[in-house]
Amino acid sequence: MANLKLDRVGKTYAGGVSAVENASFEIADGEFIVLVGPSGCGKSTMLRMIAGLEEITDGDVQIGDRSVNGVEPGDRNIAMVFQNYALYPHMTVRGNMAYGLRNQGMPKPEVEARIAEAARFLQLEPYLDRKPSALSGGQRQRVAMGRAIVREPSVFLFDEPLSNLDAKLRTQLRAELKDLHKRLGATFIYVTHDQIEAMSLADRIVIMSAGRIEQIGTPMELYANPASTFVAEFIGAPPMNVLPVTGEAARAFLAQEARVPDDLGHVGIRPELMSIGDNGIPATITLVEPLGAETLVHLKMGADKLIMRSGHGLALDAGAEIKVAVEAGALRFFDRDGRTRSA
Amino acid sequence: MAALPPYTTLGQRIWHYTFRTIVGLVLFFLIAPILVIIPLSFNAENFFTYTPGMLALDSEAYSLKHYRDFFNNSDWQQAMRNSLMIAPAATLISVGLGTLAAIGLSQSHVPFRRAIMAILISPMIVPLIISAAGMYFFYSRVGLQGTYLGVVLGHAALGIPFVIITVTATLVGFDRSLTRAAANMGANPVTTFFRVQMPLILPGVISGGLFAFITSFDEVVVVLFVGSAGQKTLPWQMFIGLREQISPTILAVATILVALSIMLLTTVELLRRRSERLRGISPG
Repeated sequence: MANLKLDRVGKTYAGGVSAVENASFEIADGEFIVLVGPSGCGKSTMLRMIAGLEEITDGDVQIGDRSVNGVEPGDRNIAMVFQNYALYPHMTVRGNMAYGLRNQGMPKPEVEARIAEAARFLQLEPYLDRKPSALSGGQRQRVAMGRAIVREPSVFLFDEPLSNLDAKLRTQLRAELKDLHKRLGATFIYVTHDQIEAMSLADRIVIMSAGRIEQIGTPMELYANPASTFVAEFIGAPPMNVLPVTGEAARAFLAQEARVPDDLGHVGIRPELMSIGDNGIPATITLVEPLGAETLVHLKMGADKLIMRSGHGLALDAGAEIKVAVEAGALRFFDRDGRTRSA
Repeated sequence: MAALPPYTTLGQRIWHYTFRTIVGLVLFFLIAPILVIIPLSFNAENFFTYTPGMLALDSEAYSLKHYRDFFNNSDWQQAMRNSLMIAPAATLISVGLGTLAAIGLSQSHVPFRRAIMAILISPMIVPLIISAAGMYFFYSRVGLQGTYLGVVLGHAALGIPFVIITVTATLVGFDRSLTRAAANMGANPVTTFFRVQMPLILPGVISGGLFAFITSFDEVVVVLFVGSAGQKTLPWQMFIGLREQISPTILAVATILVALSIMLLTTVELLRRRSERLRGISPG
């Protein structure tokens, strides 16, 4: 009932600037989809087009097998949570949550019942009669979610809802969101620029760059087999090492590989798929970053720089000469345009 | 007054006190002409001067006779009634049109926004006498000269710029995602305007309205041109009073108007504080 389909959707602004081009994907009922990409990649525009807050200039958006291109935002059975929460400062928490229901002309007892249920669900009961300005950031975030939940929509849209919170609260609310998704069973579409949020929340990730969809897949698919150097460098912290094939490091890696595709532009390798070995590719340590559970080792191979992830307790310092061993099948190959090539 | 820190040099000390003196003089220069008329309005004599009795604080030298004259004289009462009819009507028109114009002009897709804004603000910049003369010729042609409607429209044109400026300033801080959220929750634009946008920009609307009201209430040039004797307002009557009779009743009226202005400005200030409290919403 709440599956979503985007068919060659595009958005061109009046000045001729294209924000989204030819975006097509399908979302199953109850799926948690994360749209991720750097600032200005069109992910928020895409979300607003799904919500109906921005006009679609090309293609078709279908919700539950019904084209909604000309349907009012309020009639799409969609609830959106905004980055800055968009709570009405002149209304109490209760008033904020009731607003959408009153617009639908819902009778008062039912409105009250739904608010009570959502407040219990989100532990907002003590705050119902407060104004948003008297709440903390995390509480405002919960009110914004409560305002969406009471409408019992089939699709929830989230526009970077955690980006205004501090790191600790973000981790906590991330877990709550995941839990919320499980309990509600609704379709979630979530926009973020934070790849960690995307990885931890999503059933599937849609990664965008400059108005185009780069790749769609489960978090682990994207991590293990990025479709382009853009995805490789966007997903993962630290990102995949992407080395130009003309450089010394790439030549050394390729020399160890049995089957190498031709017409290569770049070679990629994840930091954790390398280790310090007795024999391997010679490298110089330039910087050691101990992070507790793991240590990031910055290396130099000839003119190329790369990062290796190592366990804790590394007894080496900058300047040390080491040999780098590579796990079998760790290399990823990209052509000159940065697209994946398989061996 | 806080003591100066021990390390101040002689030059800094001199400047410190000179600066305070200058500030004091500026405030005195601004306020004195207004304060001077207040005691004079209680003068028991029919003069514009402080009598020896007044300076000696003799209660015999003070009276409310000018106030009594104001409230009993039919000329003044008629002028008062006219002002109280014209100013609110002009304010309503200014607020309605000015608020709508400000909201429209704050939308990025409206073409020629700057030019339209400049035209709407122009009554504030063009010398009043030119606006008034223009209105006189235009209103005579269309039959509005010498009518209440003509004066109200003229004053509304003068008040609109104030409303546009204050409402535009309030809209700068207005979070567009609030209207998006309202649309997402099924509110149509009219509902959104009255339930979401209006309550939040209300302080700006009201202060703009107060400025428009004061403009109309104090205005003498346009009403002289556009109005006829039937639309004589308080400022007009004061003008006549100064020119023809030199009656101290003017001082009583002036005091009443000053008190009214202070009340209105206090309202503006209280509204501004309320608006700042509401703005405390910024997340995080």
